[in-house]
Amino acid sequence: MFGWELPPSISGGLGTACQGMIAGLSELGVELRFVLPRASGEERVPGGEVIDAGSLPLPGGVEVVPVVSALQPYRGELAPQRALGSGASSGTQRLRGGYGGDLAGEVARYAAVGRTLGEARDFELVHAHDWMTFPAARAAAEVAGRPWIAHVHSCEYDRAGEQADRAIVAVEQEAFDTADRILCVSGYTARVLREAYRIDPKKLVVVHNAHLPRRAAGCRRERPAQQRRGGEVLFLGRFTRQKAPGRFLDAAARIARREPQARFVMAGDGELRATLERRALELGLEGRVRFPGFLAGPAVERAFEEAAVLVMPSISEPFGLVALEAMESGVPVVLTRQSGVAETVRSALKVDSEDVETLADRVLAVLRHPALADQLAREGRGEVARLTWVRQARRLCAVYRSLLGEARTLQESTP
Amino acid sequence: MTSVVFYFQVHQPYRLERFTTFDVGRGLHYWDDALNRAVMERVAERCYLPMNRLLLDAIERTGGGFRCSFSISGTALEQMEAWAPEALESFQRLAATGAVEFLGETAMHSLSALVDPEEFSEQVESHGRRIEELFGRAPTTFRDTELITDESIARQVEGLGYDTLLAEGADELLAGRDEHFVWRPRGSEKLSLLLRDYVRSDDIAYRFSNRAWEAYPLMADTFAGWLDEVPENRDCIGLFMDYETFGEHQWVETGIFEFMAALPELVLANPRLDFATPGELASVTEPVGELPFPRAYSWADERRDLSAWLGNPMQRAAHRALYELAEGVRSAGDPALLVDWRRLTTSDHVYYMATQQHSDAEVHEYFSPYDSPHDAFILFMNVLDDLRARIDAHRSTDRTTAPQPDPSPREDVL
Repeated sequence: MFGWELPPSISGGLGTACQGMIAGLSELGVELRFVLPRASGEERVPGGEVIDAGSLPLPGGVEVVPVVSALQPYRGELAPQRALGSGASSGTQRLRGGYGGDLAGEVARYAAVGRTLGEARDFELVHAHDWMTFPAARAAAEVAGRPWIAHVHSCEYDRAGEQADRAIVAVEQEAFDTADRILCVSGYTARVLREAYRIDPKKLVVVHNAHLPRRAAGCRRERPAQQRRGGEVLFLGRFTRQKAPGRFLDAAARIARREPQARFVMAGDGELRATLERRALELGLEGRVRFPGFLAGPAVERAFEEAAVLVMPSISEPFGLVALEAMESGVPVVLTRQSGVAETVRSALKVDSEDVETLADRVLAVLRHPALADQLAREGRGEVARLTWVRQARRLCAVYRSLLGEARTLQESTP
Repeated sequence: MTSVVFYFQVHQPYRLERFTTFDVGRGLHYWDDALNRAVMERVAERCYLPMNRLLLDAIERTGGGFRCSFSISGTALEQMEAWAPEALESFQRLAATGAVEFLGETAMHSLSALVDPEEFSEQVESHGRRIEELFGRAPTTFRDTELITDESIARQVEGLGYDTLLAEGADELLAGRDEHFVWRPRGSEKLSLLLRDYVRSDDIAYRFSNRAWEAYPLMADTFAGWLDEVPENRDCIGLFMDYETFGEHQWVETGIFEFMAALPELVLANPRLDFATPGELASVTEPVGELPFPRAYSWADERRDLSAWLGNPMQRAAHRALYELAEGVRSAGDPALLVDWRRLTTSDHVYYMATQQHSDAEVHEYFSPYDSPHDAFILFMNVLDDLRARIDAHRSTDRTTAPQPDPSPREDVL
């Protein structure tokens, strides 16, 4: 399995989903080697192995094309970079991991390591997560004559729309054309893929993300209605166009006028931050909205602890794991139908992303009606507990088996 | 002789239009007329008209040997008058045969029997007058919303002058007794109680088109054979179901119409069986004994209790908030306000908020016009906020004769 990040080093949605998948697969007894461009040593693959591609020498004769643009996998939506191995000079031929910098070069070097691994290691199939890993996975699979799976957590068209980076789209398109299966985290993403990349629908399988229970969860106290009414309305995510933090503020302005005690928290960071802070002032939200910056680990727990409701106003969200995390903590969730997670949960309030008024209406309802908030909290906890990675890992195994079956039939029919 | 007693429930609620909290105080219309009209027109075409024709034909063919009863809610009657008058006329033609009994219920198909005796008797009496006007006879048999019945409701019904009451033949209520006898609810003086044979009723209403059912496809002669299995000397077999079963829940393609067309003659060919309406049967049959009600029973969901309407905190909060406004609405003296509030007492509104699991959830979702139980709750509470504001506006004009101040300014415009 080729990935790009794993907790605890980086805790984006991609790494979190990979971690869940690893846990589910290993519980089913699947032997897994997880390749990272650069491992910190803290990543864990139970019953398997972490391969640190950054510690492997690059094969000789690899030509690395210099980078033209500053490719970013998740354009401007990154948490402040905590670069790994930041001491590495740009002249090194070893992988650095992380995002930013010479990303195209990194992807090419990763592919070269992929080829080496394909020659050196024994495996049945290759499973890779998002475009940065696809060339490496394909190289490994090709050299070993094994099938490979491209797993799409988000795609460039979805992230950037019309401003899609053509180089990234080309990498994705080539992967989708050559992969034996394409897995998507939601039906929503599958639709984007069908429309934007004209891929063979027979290769496409939806396996929704699930949730890995956290130890700290479930300890949230039920709070009295009075507190809830003045409770915090929480946004938690990167400040990027697709996450629509501006719409959160527009809704906040409507809510604030109706519910003078309500407070707002915009937890996250990104290129839009300054714009958002200015917008909050223009909307008269001074003193009512906090920008605590990027939150991780226990800080997220505390934010959930204080939150009366979590709002995920995304215009386009391949999945949206934060909604499941909030539900696990007993926080009522308002989210948009333009998200993958909306397909898998019932115990959340769903609105259309362009409908700010209804979004504000739903948040006000949660703040005002304890019966609704309690219902959502209780149902949500139960529902998330049933959305396990083991269940999804069974679906992955079914895909694996069908691929291996096909490969075997092909071998038998070839003299 | 055992009588087969058919009772068909005809009901359509007034469904709500989208209404956010920002709409409160804007004087908007609450009801989704387009949807309500579309549903009424569709159900009239698929069910009421063809089925009424079929039953009329059966009555004429058998010379009145086939008999049945209907309860039509006031909200259904009103919408039928507005959007499907030909359906209403076809019910009147059935009434004119003398072989069809029309029952009493609450005009709004409400849960008022549980919480508000004053509202209950008002709705029962106004509906009784309406039934008499339209169908020529004042009702003497009563069924409460969704067959919700307990001893207190039975006494209220008796107090309003009814002779006969219909209820669910729930296993727990019967506790080994036979639902095929006429009973008397404990605590009532002279009320006759007829119970639903839920197995045979649901063979038609739910299982008929289920391909996984071992009896599929159910033929009329098979079903007539099952009716014959009821032991000798029983009073009745209560086949109580939604009328929309025919053509709406069970599509015409399932053969449900052919089934119903064939059944009357097959039943009448059996010397042990005939048809009767509930009132006719009760007038010639002494109750076999008293039946105690340990709690309230309904005909809905597996538990046969009130959880379909009042099972979760959202439903109870909405129900409470609605009836808290009763006094204010009645004393405001504004007929339009009263009409709107009464339409909100229709039990469907809280039914849409149900969060049942498993098989019952599918039934709830099938009937709900809204996206989720939570959305149904929010919509309902927003409308109640508007209604409350209207009541308050009346109060303030009553106190001062000064012209009414402009309602809250529109805050929704940024």
